[in-house]
Amino acid sequence: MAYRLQRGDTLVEVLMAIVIMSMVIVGALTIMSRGLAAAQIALEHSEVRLSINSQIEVLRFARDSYIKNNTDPSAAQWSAIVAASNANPITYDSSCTVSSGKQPFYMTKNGTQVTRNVYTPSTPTTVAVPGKGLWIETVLSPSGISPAYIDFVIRACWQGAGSSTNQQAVTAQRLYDPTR
Amino acid sequence: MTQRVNQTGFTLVEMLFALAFMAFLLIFATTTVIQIMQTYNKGLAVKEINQTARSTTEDMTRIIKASNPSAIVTSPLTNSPSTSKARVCFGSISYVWNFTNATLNKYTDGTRINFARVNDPGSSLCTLTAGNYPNVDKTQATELLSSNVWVQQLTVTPTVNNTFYDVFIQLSTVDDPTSPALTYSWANPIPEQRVVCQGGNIGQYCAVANFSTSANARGGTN
Repeated sequence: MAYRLQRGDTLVEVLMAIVIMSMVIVGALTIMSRGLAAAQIALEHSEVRLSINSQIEVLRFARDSYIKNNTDPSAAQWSAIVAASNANPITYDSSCTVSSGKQPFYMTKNGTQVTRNVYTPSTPTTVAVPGKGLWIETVLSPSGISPAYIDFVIRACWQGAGSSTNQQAVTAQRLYDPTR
Repeated sequence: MTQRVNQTGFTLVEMLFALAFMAFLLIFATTTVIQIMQTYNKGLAVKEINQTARSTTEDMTRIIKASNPSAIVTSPLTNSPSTSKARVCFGSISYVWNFTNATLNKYTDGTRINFARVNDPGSSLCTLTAGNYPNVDKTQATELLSSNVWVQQLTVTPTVNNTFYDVFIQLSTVDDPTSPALTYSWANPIPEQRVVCQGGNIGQYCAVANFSTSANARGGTN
């Protein structure tokens, strides 16, 4: 007798409960994987940031060599950088193109000196490294300003892991050149 | 007697349905929990790789910038994980580590070092004593990595007439030797490509991160 009086949930109720639970779980998993992708991109930005810092350090070394001793091979690279610079402003866009009228370059080191290299535009599939997705543009100080300076804009552009849009990192560094 | 006749239970079919339904629910719940656990662990590992590499490279560049190039000892640092003594000394601070799960470098109490930053004035940790590099005093050391992350490569290379030092650190998640997710090719001339994350069995994850930077050692030379 007692059995006949029992009332459970109907099938529709049970199905609704399962659907709601699935939606919550799917939502939670999506948020978690999005968080993971963000962590991965943060990791890539740290890697690129270190390369950018390294480029700034090399540029500063070239400037210091130039000021200290004009015959040093690294010092000649500073002259080359100045010769290839102009006062035109830099233009940014989301497609990571080099500003028009600029001569992009990147710095390398070998056992005896630092070197300025011409940059050929390319977007790397993994993290940007100098020469591949990472380049430098320069803006000369307007004439008549003393001490003269160069604004170095180090730009990086790469295809992030698991993301459809390009990742970009930009850092500007002003270096003064009292000899000019 | 009459009472027993009136008792009614579930039929076999009802029972089977209920069991199948429960089994389905349990499997669903278990896979979800495993999935969430893996995502969480991976997030933790990626975060730790990022944090450690960032703080280490930043610390190393700062130390290098303040160092006299002649005080930096990179000779015990070789890039062959099986034989390496895996340490570098900057004159005031030394770094000591073990590649992957090696146990070459130890604390004085015998426990394994993962990746330690040690107060070491005079670079005694990079000085051979009776053919061996000394063990690390735990009270002077700070452990930088948990056991979730391995050091795969770490090089500090002098360049530009020994005034610059290139720092390269490669960290990875811990790998399972029975079904490896990481592939190694130590003969590859490009250091970044020597350890690659290929993905192993279902449910395994891996992450490899390469950090390279350089600093100008100006200390004492201006």
